[in-house]
Amino acid sequence: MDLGAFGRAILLAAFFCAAVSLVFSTASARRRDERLAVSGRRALYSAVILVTAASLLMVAALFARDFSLGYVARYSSRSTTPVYTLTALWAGMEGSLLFWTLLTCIYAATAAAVQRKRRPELTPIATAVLSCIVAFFLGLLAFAANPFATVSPIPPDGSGLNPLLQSPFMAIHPVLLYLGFTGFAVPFAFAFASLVTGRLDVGWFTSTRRWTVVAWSFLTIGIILGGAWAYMELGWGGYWAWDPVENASLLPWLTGTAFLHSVMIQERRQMLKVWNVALILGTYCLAIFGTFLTRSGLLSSVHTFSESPIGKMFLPFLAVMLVVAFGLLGYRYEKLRSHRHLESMFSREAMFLFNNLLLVTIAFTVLWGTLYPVFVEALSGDKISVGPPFFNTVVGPMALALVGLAGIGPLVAWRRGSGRSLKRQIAVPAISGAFTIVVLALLQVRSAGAMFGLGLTVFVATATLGEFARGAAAHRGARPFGLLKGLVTVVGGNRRRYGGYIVHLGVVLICLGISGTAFRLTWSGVLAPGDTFSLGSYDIGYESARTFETDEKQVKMAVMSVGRDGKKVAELTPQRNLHFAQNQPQSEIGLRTTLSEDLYLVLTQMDAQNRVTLRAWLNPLVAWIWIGGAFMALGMLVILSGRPPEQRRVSSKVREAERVAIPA
Amino acid sequence: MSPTARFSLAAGVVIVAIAGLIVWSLQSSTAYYKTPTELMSGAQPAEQNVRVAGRVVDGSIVNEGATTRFALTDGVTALTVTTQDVLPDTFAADIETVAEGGLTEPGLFTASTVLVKCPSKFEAELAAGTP
Repeated sequence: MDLGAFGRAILLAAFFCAAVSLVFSTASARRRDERLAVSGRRALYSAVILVTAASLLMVAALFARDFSLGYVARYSSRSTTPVYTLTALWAGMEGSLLFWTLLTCIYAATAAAVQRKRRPELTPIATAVLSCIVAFFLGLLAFAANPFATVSPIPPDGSGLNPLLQSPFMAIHPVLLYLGFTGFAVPFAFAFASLVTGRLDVGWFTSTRRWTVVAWSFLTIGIILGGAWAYMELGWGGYWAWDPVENASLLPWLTGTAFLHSVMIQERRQMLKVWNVALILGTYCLAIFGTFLTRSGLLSSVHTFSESPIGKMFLPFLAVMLVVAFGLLGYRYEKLRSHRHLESMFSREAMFLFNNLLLVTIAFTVLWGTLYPVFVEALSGDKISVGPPFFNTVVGPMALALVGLAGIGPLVAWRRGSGRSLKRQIAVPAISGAFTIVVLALLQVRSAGAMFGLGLTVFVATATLGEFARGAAAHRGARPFGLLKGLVTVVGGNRRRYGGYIVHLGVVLICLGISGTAFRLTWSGVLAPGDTFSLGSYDIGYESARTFETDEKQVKMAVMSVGRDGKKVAELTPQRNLHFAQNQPQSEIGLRTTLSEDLYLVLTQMDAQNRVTLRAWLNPLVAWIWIGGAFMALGMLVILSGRPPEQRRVSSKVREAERVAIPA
Repeated sequence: MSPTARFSLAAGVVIVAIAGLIVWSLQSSTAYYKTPTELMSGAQPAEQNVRVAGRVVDGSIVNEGATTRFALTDGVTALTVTTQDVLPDTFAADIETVAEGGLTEPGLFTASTVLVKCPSKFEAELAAGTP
């Protein structure tokens, strides 16, 4: 049996196992038969083992340069380096689908194994839901997008990985995004199970909370690294273009973020049960929608895979998911309704509600802007496109309001806030923020967005740091490191809360970085060796051209000297390369990053007389976006380092006491 | 008024404001896709914010310093496009391209941005490159 047939046989067997798991798990929930549940889980475990085997087989074929497989021939070549040979697994449509299935399987099996003891009442149905998802993807792989399809005649060499994808960011960014997208399957399945079984107590989300945080964290870092890839590789000076596929990754992030916030209201006050279930169901549906969007050829984007029939198969699957999930929600609506109401507009609950309102409205705006061209074309036949200005104008103000809420929200008490304590706590941050805006106005900053963005940055940062300072002061130890000890005690004692604040600080830093866009400068022109130009406070000179060839590409490089105040501070070498395998030119940017600004050079052309066409950007504050991303990652680690909810006895006792104290 | 009603009112105001903003800014930031034939027959030089889609005519790409000039065709009409944009790495003769901008004089399209049309940016040239 040849490799192609063997690989497909494994996928068929895995599909069969997932289907068996679906049937057994469903039956076990109906008949309350533990033996059937065990068989269902075992079938799912077998599916995981088989999908892992299929993925390893594909990796082995990539490394063995087995060009009899069409996929291997299209995404690798004899000269592809080991790292990029591995990343070829998720570079194309079939491989990325296999990889996506593998991750979903691993999440599904781990969730089933971990939760079977903790949530025996929910796990069979959740396992059935996860098996159904896995079976759908395996069905696609086995029958519609077979990664093990063979070609004949066997080409002597493969086409290799597209040079744009040969970047360390591209090696890691899709993996993180997929880990994020697929991870939401677990809370989705448990929310679904709680609707089916009618066990609508707190259970489903306390036990899947960490899964949600893990998925959300991967998605967040994945999105930020995607921006970094665009910035470093695509050579247009920016990091976010409101491209349909970028939007597709942002949608589940927005609703997932809303969920992580609003779930706290349910935990504390048993409110918003319907809303929370709807949010998490919607989040996974949006993740599936994103995969559909990238693979359907419905919209054009820098990311799309080639148009393929499997795109169309996502639509019915998505429709079934939406109808069944939200149908169940409607069915259980009465049982889910909370009998508690908002007590004051000036309370933590109300702040979270506004946070949710903004996040969901942003999600809707992004969805609308992304799909609007599709609607218009369907209705009138006109082909249109919606540009970044739309998203910036509509999302910008809402995002700023959201960042502002991150500053005020934590200062407002649950149930009913106290105006006096808020005034005391908000005074310093508000004055610093206002002061920043006044200073910027005096400096004649024209962009209102940047002015408010920077003002809010200062406001929220001060307010958040104030929370740390108050906490540390309350737990102050003996000198000389009293405050520091206090900080460690308070952060270590409530990692979820302070981890969350660290994430907020990360968001604030990203906001700072984005505000820099308003001060961006650009230059473009033609230079002969010896020519100079200036941009901002930099004097940039074109010293010489260098051209050489490697096995893979022809390199044309411009040696640029960068000077400031008469002193040479850097030498940048933007390149224009021609990759032989794909016959594709590619620019490598010249980049000098400092905390205050990035100097970004793109060589677009070099002629026979060594004259270069160059475009230069001075992008202020961009580095803070990546630093903010690192802060967010740190905050997530702090949150996840806390003990899982099952072991948090003290807090549940506190919660119990509160429940008794607050009459419903 | 109960706090829930007050919140609903505030939420309603926010949603209506955003809906208004969406409608208003969609009008100003949508660009229409046209073919070179449609654009030439329309002949409205003032019209801006148009995207022309077509295939780059072989041998028509001329670089004049930072300005690039090329012809786009839909198989019927060829349109001269001039741009100062940084061209995408995949830009080449015979590639499906979208130019965004407007007609500055009859028959001359000045593009602020030039995009290589997908749907298959990463696979199209592979298909073209492999026999």
